[in-house]
Amino acid sequence: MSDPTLLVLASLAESDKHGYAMMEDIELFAGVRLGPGTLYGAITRLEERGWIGPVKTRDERRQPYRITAAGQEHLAEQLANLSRVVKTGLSRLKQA
Amino acid sequence: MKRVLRFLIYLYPAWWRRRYGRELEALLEDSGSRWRDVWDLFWGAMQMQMSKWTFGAIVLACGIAGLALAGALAYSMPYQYQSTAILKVPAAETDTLLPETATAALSRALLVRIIQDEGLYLQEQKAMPMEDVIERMRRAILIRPAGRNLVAVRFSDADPSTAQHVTQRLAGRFEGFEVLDPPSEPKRVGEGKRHGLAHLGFPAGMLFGVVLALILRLRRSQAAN
Repeated sequence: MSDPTLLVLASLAESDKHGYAMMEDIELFAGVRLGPGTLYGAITRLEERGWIGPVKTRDERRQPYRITAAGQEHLAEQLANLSRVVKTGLSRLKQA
Repeated sequence: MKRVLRFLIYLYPAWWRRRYGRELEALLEDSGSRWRDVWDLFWGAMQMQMSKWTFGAIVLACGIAGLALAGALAYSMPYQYQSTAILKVPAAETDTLLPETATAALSRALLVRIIQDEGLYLQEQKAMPMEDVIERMRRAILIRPAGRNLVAVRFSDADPSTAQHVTQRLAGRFEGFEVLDPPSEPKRVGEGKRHGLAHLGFPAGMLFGVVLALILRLRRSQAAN
């Protein structure tokens, strides 16, 4: 899984986070360090589609984001697809 | 490097900077800056700029960028100058004397001496073996028949006076040949090549733009699904 938008959604599925916290979390659970341009490109696209939204905060420079219900639905759908691919791949590997 | 990265934020469109600029700046402060982030931010800014552009606008912008890039490249290349001397071949020896003398004029020992005396190809001497430097000089020399019993000796160089002086030295190696025309005033050459390269930039840039626009369109449709 290397699609930055999915990585961001997966990170926010745990809790609200600002950009740097997402970057750290993604590196920890996926072993991928998203560059700042890639991360904010993904955040822009996700916000445009209504899959994440900003959370009110005092520090606007470290704006946290929250996954929306539509975002959770999309993530669940994508992960189910991925899970099917992983399952099929693993069973085929066992047969080989 | 943080300064470079902060500068790159200005490449993003204004509407994007108003919304995310301060956040991105804070992220750059918090995370350690790395050189590959320069490309990441640059590419991110370009994608964001082009996110609102039409297919045609991307192609046109790439064409203009290609023209500017090729133009800068073409016109930053140093000019080349040529000087030509015309020699008269001694009568009845045309067939045998010219190849022999031409070979002698291009001998390794002579070329090395000229390279050292004239201080030719100083950058190349540092970067490549002497044999390659000599080969390069050979390619800058032209010795060819120039009419009945006549032979032209020509040398090309980025420095006009060097072109003329080396032509004179090479012509002087043709013993027994009468110098009909001494080394000419250095003539600037390669203007056509420059224009050609500069004009190639626009179609090449547009072609790149078509490929880029198709990739972006594909990505957008993938992301939308």
